Amino acid sequence: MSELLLDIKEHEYVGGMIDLRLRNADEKSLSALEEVLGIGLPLKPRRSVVEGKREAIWMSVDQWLVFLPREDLDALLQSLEELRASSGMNLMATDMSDARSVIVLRGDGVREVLMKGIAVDFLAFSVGEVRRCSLGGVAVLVRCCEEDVFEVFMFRSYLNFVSDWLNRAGASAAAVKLFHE
Amino acid sequence: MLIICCPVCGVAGDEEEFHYGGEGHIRRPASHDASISDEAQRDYLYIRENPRGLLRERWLHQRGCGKWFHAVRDTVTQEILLVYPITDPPADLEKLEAERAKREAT
Amino acid sequence: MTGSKRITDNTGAFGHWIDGGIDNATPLSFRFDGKEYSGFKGDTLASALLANNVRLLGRSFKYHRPRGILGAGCEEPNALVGVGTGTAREPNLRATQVELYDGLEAVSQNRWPSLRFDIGGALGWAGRMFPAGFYYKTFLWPQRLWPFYEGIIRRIAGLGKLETRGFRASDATAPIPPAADDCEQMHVFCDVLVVGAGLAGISAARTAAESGARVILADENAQAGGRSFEDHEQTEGVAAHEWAQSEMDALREKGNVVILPRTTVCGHYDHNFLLMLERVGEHDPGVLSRPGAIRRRLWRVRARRVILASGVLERPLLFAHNDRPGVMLSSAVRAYLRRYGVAPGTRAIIATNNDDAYLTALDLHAAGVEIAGIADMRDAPDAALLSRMKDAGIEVMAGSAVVEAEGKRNVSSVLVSQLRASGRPAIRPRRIACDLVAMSGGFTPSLHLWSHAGGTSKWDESRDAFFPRKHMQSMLTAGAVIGVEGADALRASGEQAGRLALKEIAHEDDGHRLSGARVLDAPAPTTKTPGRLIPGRSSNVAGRKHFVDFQNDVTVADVELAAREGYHSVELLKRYTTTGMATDQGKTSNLNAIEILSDSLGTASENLGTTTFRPPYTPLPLDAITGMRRGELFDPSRRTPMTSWHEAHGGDPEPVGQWLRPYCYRRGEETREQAIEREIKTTRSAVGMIDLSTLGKIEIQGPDAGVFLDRVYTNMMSNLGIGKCRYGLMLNENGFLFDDGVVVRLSEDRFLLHTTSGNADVIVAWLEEWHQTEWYDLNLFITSVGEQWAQIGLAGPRSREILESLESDIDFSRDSFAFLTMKTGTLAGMPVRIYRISFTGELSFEIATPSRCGGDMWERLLKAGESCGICAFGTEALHVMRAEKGFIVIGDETDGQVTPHDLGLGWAVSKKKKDFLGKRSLERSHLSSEGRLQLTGLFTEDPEFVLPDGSYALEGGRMIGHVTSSYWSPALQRSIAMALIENARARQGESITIKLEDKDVSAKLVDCCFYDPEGERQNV
Repeated sequence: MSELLLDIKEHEYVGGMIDLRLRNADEKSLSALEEVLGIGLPLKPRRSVVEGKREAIWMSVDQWLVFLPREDLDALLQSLEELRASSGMNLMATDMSDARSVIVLRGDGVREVLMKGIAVDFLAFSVGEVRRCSLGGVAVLVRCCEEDVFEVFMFRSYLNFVSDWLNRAGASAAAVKLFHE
Repeated sequence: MLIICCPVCGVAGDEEEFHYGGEGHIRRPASHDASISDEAQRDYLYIRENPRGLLRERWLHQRGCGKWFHAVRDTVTQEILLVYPITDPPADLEKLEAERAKREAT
Repeated sequence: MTGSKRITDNTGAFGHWIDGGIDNATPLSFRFDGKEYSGFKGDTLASALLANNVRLLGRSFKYHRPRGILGAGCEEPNALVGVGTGTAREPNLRATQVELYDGLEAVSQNRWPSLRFDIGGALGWAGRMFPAGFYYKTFLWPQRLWPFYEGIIRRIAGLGKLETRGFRASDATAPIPPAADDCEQMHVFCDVLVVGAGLAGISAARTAAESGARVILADENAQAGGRSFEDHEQTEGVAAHEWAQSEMDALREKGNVVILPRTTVCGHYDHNFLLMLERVGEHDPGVLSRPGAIRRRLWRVRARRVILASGVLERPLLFAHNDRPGVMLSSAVRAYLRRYGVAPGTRAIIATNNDDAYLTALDLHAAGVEIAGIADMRDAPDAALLSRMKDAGIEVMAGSAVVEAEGKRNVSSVLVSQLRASGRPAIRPRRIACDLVAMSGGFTPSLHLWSHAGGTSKWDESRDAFFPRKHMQSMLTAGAVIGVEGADALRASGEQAGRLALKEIAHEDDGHRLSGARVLDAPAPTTKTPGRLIPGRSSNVAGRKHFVDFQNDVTVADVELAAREGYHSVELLKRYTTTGMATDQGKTSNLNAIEILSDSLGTASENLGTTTFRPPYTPLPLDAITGMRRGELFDPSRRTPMTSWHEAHGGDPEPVGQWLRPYCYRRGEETREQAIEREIKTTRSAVGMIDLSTLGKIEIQGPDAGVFLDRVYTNMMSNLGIGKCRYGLMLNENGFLFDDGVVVRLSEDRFLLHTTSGNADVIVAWLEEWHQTEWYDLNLFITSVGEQWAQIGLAGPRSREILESLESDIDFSRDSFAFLTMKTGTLAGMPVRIYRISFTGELSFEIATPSRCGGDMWERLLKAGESCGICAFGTEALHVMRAEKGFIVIGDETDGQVTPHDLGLGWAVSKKKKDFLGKRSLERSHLSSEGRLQLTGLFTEDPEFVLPDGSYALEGGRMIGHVTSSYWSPALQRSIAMALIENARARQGESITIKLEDKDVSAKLVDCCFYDPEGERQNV
């Protein structure tokens, strides 16, 4: 087994996660929604927001993933349904807590390891940035949480495959140093 | 391996992130019974433009934001002159061609 | 002693690439064709072999002529060897680019029994019968002998051999060695990519890097400096190669520069996407021995600007037997001296039409090699050069040319003739003894990368070569590739390119768009070189070969033959003669071939143009292209929450899309057939369960959800009651069935769609496309929830009993839980959605629970069913059971040309709906005509015989249909099949003939629903 360059941790299940869809919301509606969510939604593409124990990730122009502690999940889904019914907003909230797994990568060189399989310039990636992309043919979502800490999300059925891939690419004997200061 | 700029999420990604959707602005025939002639149905299903030059086409940002959009691509040089929303009307090709000629003259 | 050898160097001028210098270096040992030799670190296999006076390295492709080393780099066409042992052996490597390491093992190719005594050489005598294009004219008749001819041709064709031991069926007992898992890929984005680390490239990189831009500098050699080692130049007061080394040292310190030696830029593609192949560990087994180490890395580069500083390639001269070992390119001779300290011969003749070869004469002289003379095709070479030669005591034969090389396994002498005014040789040649011929036909820019993605070239009369002209992409050029000469000028050219690249990038950053590239102009050359056509027509010299393409054994006579036969374009010439089509991609042959053709046709080279060079520049190993995608990582594989359980309990995995699903579960010594029979019998008599998590599940919510589904399915969906299920069909716009599945209404405006496992992602994309691009006014959202839910099918007369035995808030009783309805609640403490639907025809429930509960739910159900003798059943049992009921499977009963009516599913096609996808096409006459294939069941006359899937039914010499599904039915204890047969519905009870390879089988058309036709069993 080759020596790893990075610290790689897999989590088959995240806490609570909601797939949130929203269209044509005016300012008032958006505020009401954020009030219920307990977090502001990132409106700029490919950004993420963290507030306390909640996180929101921009997925598309009308889609976010909202992460929260599992114990708060049911209550939030209930509140969202009530908001939808009362306001008539174009909204859809689906519990997807079991659908995605995450692998957390830590270490100097994490960006280069990701770039072995993903055609994205992670060297230019900033903290809080997210990118939906493809790794070895699998759709993944990559997020930079801290300077040398990245999260890779994928549908849970792909967890083993992506993990094997990252472990292989993260072998220190295959380290590559790209541009740096 | 083209670079395509998605007008929805702003990403400039490799062609492999996208899925090609062929000629753009092919609308499904409005009435849906036998009043659509066989020829009209055939054209809708099968007949497509294949120009040597500017083509309006559709792309899906499959490994990205998941949204469809239009592009104008020069099938000879592979230059992508414009990307625009899927719900927009067809881009003005003559105008784009003229703008490009002006650029090249300078 | 004659031959090539390592020189002792007290001048410091030679052996620059040898680690530690020639006199201090540590010897390495290696083997070639089984014999042991020694060399130094820094040597290539070619230089080390030359140092050991090994000059015969291979046998040519067609004629098996003895061949030696021609060049010193990637242009080498002859010295192709296999390196490595066993299954790690790589064939067809250029010995000039194989870096020597201790213990290297190499073999020559294309010879039997040995390099010295090769039977194939006999073909040389028969050479006249095998001109270009002979394959098109021979072996045509009699046609039935073709398999015999093919056997012969296959045996003599090809060059290197792959080691196949362990891969052949006959070696079934030998374990297949694991593929070396040591290649990867790397993506990188940069501002400027500089191709070639010669003087111009280094300058360009330095200039671009000063601004802080991201710069990549790549060179195929291990050492930077390009030709500066060979050319006797100075710049900034030091030797050019010393300048190069110190610049490289400075560049290595910069964080914004990535330097990639041993990296060939092999392809240029649209929008400045390039592939580069880096040889990471090939040259150093020490590196490779660490676990996880990499042998090769394929870089995928996106560069805003590319600066092509790829330099030039030298052209051979075309005299008879110019392919003899000992005949080498002049600059290569110099390279062997200066880079490796190897003198490739003891007595040399220089044959040239330009000044550069004179430097070779000087270097050889300084290394102690005797110079027999310089044959210069020009009448009046430069006076200064002549004077230097005179001082060195080197004879110059002006206006003369080598017309033939003599010798068998090595050059032993040459014939030199004076040239008449016409350029033809005078009659009486002079014989000159020598063992080395250094030939130079001038230099041609290395244009391959330039032309890969749309660069065009122009003919330059003064330099007798093609130069870059225009490009559609942002590629800049610098250095010798645009004709710049001289160290100072090369540097200036590189700087200029670097500055221009930065300027263009800044311009783009300001929002301007630039299209295409301009080629920087180079100053006119100082000396004109004459044409290098053969001094004498080959047809005069019967059997004597003037080689153009060394790798494919194409001669001047072949090119002239092609011209005579009417192949007048370079593209046709290339394909007819195969010149330029070998792994060297015409590096030493293309331009010469074009000139011969133009001469034969009496037209100018510029009128013919060049062929388009295609990537890769040098051969790209397949494992570099696959990178890490091999073995387990070849294709993504997906696992359900229960996959581990299947693996641990005899699940026989079958790939279904990217999933591995259990085909059946084998217990003990069971065969697959036995397992399937047991699973079906258990399920139909008691209860069985199957993992259905792979099914696609899509939720659609919004006020217009019902309207949308009405348009997408053939059935009405908007009138589906809440909590009810309906089996729906989807057509494409051609009117053909492409998916089916159960739709469930969860609430007023929320629906759940099921799709087949293989189609899950396809259907999501299909729905999204229609909603986003056509019906964007509809108010709804589409969410794929497949991965959120694990799903288990529980089927059999005792299935209800099992569910009732577990704690639950759901009433499973027959009156409460009707067929085709859904309930939500909890089961065994876990949240569930339960659908009462049936694919097996038995009483059956599908239990959906969040994925994290999937494993638990599976185990709980198993435990609860123990007393009933519950078993897990796989995909095959499911397929058999549904076939017993005559239910269709998308992909078996459908093939893209089948409508619902063909399958007897017309009842699912709404007659009320005004519109749905596929409706208009269904009304085409062809799709509602007589004589269409219709679904039917088949009973073979022999009930034991199971028809092969896909067999054809024939009648009156016509094909009237085919078998779509075929199984052994445990329920009926006989074979059953479903088939699509013309007019089957009107022909029930009739017999038809199924035609198999070895016999005809008779089968009767019967109803598809073989088992429980009233459907009572699923309604209990």
